[in-house]
Amino acid sequence: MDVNTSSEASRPSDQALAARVQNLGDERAFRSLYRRHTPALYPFVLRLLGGVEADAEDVVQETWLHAVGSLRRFRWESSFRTWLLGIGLNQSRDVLRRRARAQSARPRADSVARYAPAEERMDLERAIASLPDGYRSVLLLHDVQGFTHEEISERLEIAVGTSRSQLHHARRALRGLLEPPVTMKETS
Amino acid sequence: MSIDDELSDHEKAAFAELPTERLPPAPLEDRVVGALQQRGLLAPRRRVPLAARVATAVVAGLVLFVAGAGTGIRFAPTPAGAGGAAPDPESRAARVQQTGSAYVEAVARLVDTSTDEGGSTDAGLEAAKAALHAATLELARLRPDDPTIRLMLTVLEERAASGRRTTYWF
Repeated sequence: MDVNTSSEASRPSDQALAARVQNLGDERAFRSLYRRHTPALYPFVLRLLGGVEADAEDVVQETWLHAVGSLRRFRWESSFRTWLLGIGLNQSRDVLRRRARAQSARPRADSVARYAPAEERMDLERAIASLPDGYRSVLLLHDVQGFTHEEISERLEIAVGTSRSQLHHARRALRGLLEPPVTMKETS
Repeated sequence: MSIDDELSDHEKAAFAELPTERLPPAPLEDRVVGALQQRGLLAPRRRVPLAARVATAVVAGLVLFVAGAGTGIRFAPTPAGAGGAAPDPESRAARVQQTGSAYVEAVARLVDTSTDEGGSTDAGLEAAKAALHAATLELARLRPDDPTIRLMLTVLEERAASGRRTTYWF
């Protein structure tokens, strides 16, 4: 299904804009595509990257560079946005891998230590951001973006069972982060 | 431990309320465009440098000057006894000058717009060329033997015939 469901009949389709970018290097057409899809791409990669804005901006840039460079190979069997988010996902995973490599070179900290202090109730965004990368990716793709486990398995190159397991752990961790603080009164 | 845990309605609502759209910082757009241009994936931005503005003004000024001079010559007072009310050459030249100034100003504005918006000024550019062509035709009618006017007309008509969109240099 195409995402071009705008009621503005005069609005050029993604495919028409992409053709102008591909064939003419048309800057205005590119800017239209950018303004149409980046507002969805940016929060998607920002969440995947745990809320690190500088990394998210870099990933948005790399995603567009890769997308424009690959337009010739895009067959329009999915919507442009779905394709773009897929590229954004891959670019984000590259960043997460680089981060993991950098962290492994340092003294290892328990991943649970990345969670925010339990004394405070966290909002959902912060709680998602504080999840370990693997949990966060699966949770975002499944619970926020609406991917199935089969799709997640394909996108992240993991087994379907791993996707289910990661989601379970992610939800449990998230609930732990979001539950109201336990006070002495309540425990007595 | 079950891994088939489902989200509660409250949890589903919380996820659904997460904003799905958010604008990145505005400078990112230009950064991305610049990176694409650097890699040759977008056409380099058409820059209209100061020299081009000056050249445009010079061309328009030339048209203005020749038109003013031509009008003066055409409507100069005839020798005594020619009869009839003599036209006022100064006011006619002034009118041509005003129109020419408006033309130059409009072209300068078009150059500014072109610098800001890339290729969005094609229609304006075509109109400017057409006006220049029309003015040159009138000048040629006025002074058919003037070599400058003939050169301008030749170049304009050659370019129009070839259908090329170029800047006219004289």
